Amino acid sequence: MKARYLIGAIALIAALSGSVYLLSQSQVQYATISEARTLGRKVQIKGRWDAAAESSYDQNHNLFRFVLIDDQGNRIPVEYQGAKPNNFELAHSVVVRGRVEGDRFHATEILTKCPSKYEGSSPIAPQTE
Amino acid sequence: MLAQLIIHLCFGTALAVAIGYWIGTIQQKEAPTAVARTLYYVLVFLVMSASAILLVAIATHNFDYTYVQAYSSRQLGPPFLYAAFYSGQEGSFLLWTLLVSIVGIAVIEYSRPRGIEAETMAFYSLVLVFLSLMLVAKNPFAYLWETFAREGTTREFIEAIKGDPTRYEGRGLNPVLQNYWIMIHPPMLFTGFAAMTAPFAFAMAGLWRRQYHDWTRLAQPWIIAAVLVLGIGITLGGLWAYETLGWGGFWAWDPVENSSLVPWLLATALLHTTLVQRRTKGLIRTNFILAIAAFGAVLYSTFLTRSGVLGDTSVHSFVEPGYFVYVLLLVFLLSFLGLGFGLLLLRWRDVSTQTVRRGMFAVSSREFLLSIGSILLLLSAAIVLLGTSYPIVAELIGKPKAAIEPQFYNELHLPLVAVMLIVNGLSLIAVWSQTPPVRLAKGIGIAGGAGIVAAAAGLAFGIIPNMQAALAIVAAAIAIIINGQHILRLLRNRKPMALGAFISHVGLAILVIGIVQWAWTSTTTHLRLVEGVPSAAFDYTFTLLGKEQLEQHLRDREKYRYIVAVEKNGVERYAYPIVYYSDFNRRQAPFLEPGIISTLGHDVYLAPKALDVEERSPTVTLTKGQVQRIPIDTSATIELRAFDMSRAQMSDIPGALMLGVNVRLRTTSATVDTTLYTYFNEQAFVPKKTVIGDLVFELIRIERNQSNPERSTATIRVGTVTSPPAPPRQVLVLDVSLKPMINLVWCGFVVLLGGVLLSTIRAFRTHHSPSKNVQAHELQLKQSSVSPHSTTESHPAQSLPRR
Repeated sequence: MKARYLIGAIALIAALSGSVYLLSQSQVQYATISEARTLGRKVQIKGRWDAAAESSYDQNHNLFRFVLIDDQGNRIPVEYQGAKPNNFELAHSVVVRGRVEGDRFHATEILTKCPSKYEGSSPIAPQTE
Repeated sequence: MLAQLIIHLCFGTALAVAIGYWIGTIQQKEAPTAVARTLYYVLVFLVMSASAILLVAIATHNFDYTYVQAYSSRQLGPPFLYAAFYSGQEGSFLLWTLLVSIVGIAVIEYSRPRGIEAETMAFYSLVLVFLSLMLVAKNPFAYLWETFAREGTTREFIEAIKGDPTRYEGRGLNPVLQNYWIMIHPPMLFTGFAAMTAPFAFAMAGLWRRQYHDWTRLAQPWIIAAVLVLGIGITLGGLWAYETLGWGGFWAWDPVENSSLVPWLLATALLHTTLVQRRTKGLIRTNFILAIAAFGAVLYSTFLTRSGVLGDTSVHSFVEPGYFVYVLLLVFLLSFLGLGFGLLLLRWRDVSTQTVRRGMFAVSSREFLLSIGSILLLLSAAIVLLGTSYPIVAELIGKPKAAIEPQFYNELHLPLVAVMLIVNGLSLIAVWSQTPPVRLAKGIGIAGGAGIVAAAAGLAFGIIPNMQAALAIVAAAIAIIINGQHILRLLRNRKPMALGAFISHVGLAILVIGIVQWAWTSTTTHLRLVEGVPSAAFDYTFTLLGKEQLEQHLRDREKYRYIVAVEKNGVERYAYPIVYYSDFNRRQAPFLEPGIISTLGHDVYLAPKALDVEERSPTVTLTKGQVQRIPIDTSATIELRAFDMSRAQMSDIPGALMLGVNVRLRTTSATVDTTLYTYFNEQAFVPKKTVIGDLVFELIRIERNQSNPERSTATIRVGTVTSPPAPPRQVLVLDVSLKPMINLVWCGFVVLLGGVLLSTIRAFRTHHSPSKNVQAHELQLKQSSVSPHSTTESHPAQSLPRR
């Protein structure tokens, strides 16, 4: 009887530790640009896009390029495999997910956060922003 | 004012209802219970009144209310106008409260004749106390001059602008949400959440009354109903994501999706373990834990999605609601977990005095295998919960903030679901108490053998992409074969209503086959479709034919669907991807919807990415002071002397700015200074023709560089009088995907939920009359314990254990 409890417990612990291991493998850490450069693996950087620098979409290669400024004020050119994300210009912060390759950041995903997301301007009420 | 009063009255009445039912519970008297019941109907009336007022305010565009102003507008017509009811936090809490209060009427009607009304409703009404308190905190009837008092908005100001429809206007509903899915997906999800309250209340009442077995029978129809409604809600969300949001898939492991999946998984596990308890009198504590946890998961889901804690990791997350709501939601969650587990701990030892079942389940018994199946469901719930909560956990323990990749969920669930399907098959071959090993081996051998043959054939013919998929398909085949045997037997015995569970299992198996095939064989490519020019991808030819305007009555947008001819082997079909701009986001970025061509075997999925134009006539692009040769007449040059905004406001086209550039044209014979103009309507340039000699010029674009005006450019299209500059061709940039077996995925969802629907109907029918339900209960148990080969013989081990 006790043996079965033991087997059950071992199986459960194995399953849970397996999932925790996978969890540690599949988490993508937030990093600054300089950390991303030294780490070299897949990370995500929170920042904003540099409105002063060029941003362009290369339709033939489906590449969107822009310059990201992280929270410490460092800059890195970003190359994203895909079109310019919806709400990109409005976004007050941008999260890019990917890795540094050479001198640029190759993003596989871009998350944009807009000031009070999905809300247009109000002609009546002053904005809370 | 009335509406705000009603909201406060709701809270007061909910409190009174709870107190009444608790007095009734503690004193064991009918009088306080009767008062509480009457008050409960008053509460339902109040919540309905508040909902009606909100609906009327939305319908009459009463923008005095902050909520109505924030989520609707005059432009919005029915039905989407009414979706504004639950498009924001305040309204969705009101909807939830409304649904919980209505479900409560059914709970009263159900529990009263069974003599457990006071206890059940004592716990049930506590949920309404919290929900109505939430409404007081997030009042949908706050006025603009209250919400924005600090910003200086006064009531007088609002009154003053009331006559002006352009200023007294709402922000409107996000165009992304304006489609039929919003009419059904959120209400369904909230109904599912509301339905989860009932099993919790029955479990708590059982604990309170020290009746540790009876509640599982009473709660059963409610658990199934919750699994059904929440399941439909989740599925509709997947359809929405695939069909209109253009995610390309039906499930993205987004925190909001995940947090509605966890309660569903827990309720499904509970459904199976209560079945075990009803048959064996075991798993008493497990079932209490699961019932509390399933409801806790609903509250946790609300906390995750409504408190703003996951702000950076979800596409769904709402605006930060403020610290008070954050705390209130946390208190809500912790109170009910504390209440539930606290009472369970209090009764922990007492449970043993009533347990009939002693010792362990035999490994070969159906109850053991059902328990294993439930553990696998719990494991799945734990994985999803772990992944979704990880960003918060990481923050709490001071680790760097991180997000979880979908692969985490996918890689763990593949083996998990495969084992789940095999265990399901085994549990159906097994009988209660103990199964001869030979029978188990024989049953699984036949089904497994057939599954392996099928998967091997699939691999050999290249239908199944790889070994992992093949293993999952073997497991699915086992489940389909064994459940199929049961279905056939029940059909032969003319018991179609008993089919529910087996149909659901087949649905899950179909879903798994669909998902592995879909996930491993979908392919995507990038296309740039120039109007009228065919492009080829995956045996198909794609041609952009043109566009046509939709929703012309809406002034905030010019919405176009692009007509793409998709041809294969001479058969032409049309896909209609949609790209448009709206004032909602100040036309800063397009709104996109995919075009889909469905065939039996696969979908062709056209996800638009961007719009562009391709010039057919030569163009020159100049910065200020620059001189360039003219492409069609290289003896001539053109110089950009200055940008000329002097006539910007003097446009002869209403609503458009008139922009100009001063240019100097030098030909071999003459030098001409002139100004080229273009009209700009916030979205597109409409050039004005200028003819100089036999050359024709059109100013087609001005690109301003905000930070460095010297780098601003003007683009000019050039033609001659005999061959004038041609308008450009439209270009649609898209990702085209081939999605095989997506129909199998939908089919899996439908079959799974269809089975649950059948079980729900049967469960409520069986429980319809309280006097009959003991008989019906026994009958049901007999049916479910009958094994495929022993329909007539009676098994000693199968007789019902009696207290």
